Amino acid sequence: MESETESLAEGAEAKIHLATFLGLPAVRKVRLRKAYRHEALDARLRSERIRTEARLLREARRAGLRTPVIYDLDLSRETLTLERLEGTPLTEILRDPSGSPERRQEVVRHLGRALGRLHAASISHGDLTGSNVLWMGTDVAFLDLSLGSRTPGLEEFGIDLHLVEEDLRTLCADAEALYEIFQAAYSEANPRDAAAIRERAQEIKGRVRYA
Amino acid sequence: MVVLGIESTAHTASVGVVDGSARVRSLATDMYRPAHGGIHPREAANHHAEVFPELVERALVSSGVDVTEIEAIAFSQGPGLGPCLRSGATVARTLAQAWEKPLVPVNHCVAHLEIARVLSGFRDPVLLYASGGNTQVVAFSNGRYRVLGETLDLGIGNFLDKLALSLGATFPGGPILEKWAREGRDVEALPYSVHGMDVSFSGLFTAARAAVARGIRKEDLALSVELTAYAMLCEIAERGLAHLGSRELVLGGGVACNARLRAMVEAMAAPRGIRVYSPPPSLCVDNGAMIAWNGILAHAGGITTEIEDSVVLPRQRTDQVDAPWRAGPSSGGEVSPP
Repeated sequence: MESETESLAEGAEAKIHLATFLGLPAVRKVRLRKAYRHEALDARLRSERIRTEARLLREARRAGLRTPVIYDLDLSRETLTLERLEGTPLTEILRDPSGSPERRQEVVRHLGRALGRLHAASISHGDLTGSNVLWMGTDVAFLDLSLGSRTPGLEEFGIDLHLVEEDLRTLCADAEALYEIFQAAYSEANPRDAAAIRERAQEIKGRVRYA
Repeated sequence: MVVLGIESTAHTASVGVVDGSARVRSLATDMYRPAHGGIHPREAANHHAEVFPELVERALVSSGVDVTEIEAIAFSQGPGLGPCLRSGATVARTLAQAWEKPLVPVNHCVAHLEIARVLSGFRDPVLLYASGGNTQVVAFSNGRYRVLGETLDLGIGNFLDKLALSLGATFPGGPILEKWAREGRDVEALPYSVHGMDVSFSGLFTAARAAVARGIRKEDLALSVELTAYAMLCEIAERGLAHLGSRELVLGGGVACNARLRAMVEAMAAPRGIRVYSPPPSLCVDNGAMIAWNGILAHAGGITTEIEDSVVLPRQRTDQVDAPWRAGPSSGGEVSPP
C-alpha cells in the first residue's frame, strides 16, 4: 500500500521521505525525537505539532488555499503521509541572483494574497519562511503548518507578517519594495483585519530590541 | 598588531588587550551589581565611569604591552543601553586622543560571534547568543551578518533574572536559578513558544508566576523553566543551522555559560554532526577582549571613526555592520588578520 523510496531531506524537526501512497506520489514526514528535550516535553511537542499540522492543512484547504492533501496520519508512528507537490520553494526563487525583479514581485504578491486568505479564515501559519511555501507556477502552496494556530490573536497574525519581512530581508536586496507589494496584496485579501495586523507587525518589529 | 578594546553595553565594564594572533594579553572586568532589583542604566553608567580608569590601568599593566605598541582603540558602539555605551565611548575617545590612536567602532553582537569564531577555528559558524538583553541566532550570510531568529519579547537572561528576583534572589538571578534547578525533581509542563526561528518568553513567565502562586517548589520550577526555555533556544539554533545548512555552532553571552544549556546544545548538535564551541566563561560573557579582537579585524579592514562621528548606536542593527574582513558571500574567502 505504501512504499518508501529515498530520504528527501532532514529538516530541523522531521525527516521527509519520498514515498508512494496507493500508487500516488507522496512524501512521508516522520517527526524526530529530540534527545536534548526532556522526554515529556518532547513527546508533548511532537504529538501537538503533528495534530496541529494535520488539522490546519485540512482546514486551510477547506478555506480554498493550496496545501498538500493528507493521505495518511499515523499517530503511533508520528508519521504524516502527504500529497507530493511539485513546486519550487520560495526561498529558491527569492534568493536567485539571476531572477528578475518582476518574478519576485509576482511571487510575493501571490504570497500576500494567500496569507490574507489564510488569516481571513482565522488560521495563522507560525513558521512562515520561504522554505515552507512552494511556488506552483500560478499560485503558492503552504507547507508545514505545525506551529500555526486555529485560534490566533493579533500577535500570531502579526508574527506571520513579521516573519515574512525578516525572511525577505535575509534573502533579497529589494526586500523593502517586495514587502510593500506583499502587504498591499495581503490587505486586499484580508480587508477587515489587515490594518490592525500590520500595525501589530510593526509593533513586534519595534519590540525586538536589537535586531 | 595590538588593540585595546572597551566594552560597556550593559552591566559590564571591561577592558581587553588582544594581539593579531587573537591572544588575549589581558582582560580587566568589573560588573555593576545593583543593591536590589534589576539594572538601572544610569547607575550602571556611573559605575562604569568610576571603574574604567582603574580597569584601563590594570589591563595595560598586566598585558605587558607598551602604549606605543597599541595600534588602535576599539569600543562597543552598540547595541546596548545608551548611558552605559556613552561611558565606554567617552573613555575610548579620551584614550584615542591622549595616545593619538585611531578609534575603531565595533558592534557588540558581531564581536561575540567573531571572538568565538577565531577561538574555535571554525570557518563560518552560526552563533547562539543568549545573554540578559539579547537572545538571537546570528550568522554571516549573503555578505552581511544576519539575525536569523530572536526573542520577540524578553531577553532570556532578563526573563530568568525577573523570575529569580520574584522568588527572592538577588541580581543576577540566573546563576541562583541554575543552583536551584540542580535540586529540582519534578518537571512541570509549561508553555513552549517557538514561532519559526523566533521565541518568546512572556507566556512562560506568566505561567511560571502562576505555578509559584500554586505553591510549586522553587527548585522544581527552576528546573522546569530551564528545561523549557533552553529547549526553545536549542530548537531555534537547530532551525537556523538547518536553514543555512551549516555544521558549526558557537555560543556567546552570559546565559550561554549555563552548564545545562551547554549540555542540551551538545545533545542537539551531536546527532546532526554539528560541531559546537563554547568560549571560556570570561570570553563568553560581555568582555573587552572580544571588542579588541573585532577591532583588530575592523582596523585591518580600514574601518575607523573620527571622534566627532563616534556616536554610540544603542539600537544598531546587526545587518548594518560592514564586514570587510569577511569577503565574499557566506565567507568564501576572508581578510586574514595581520
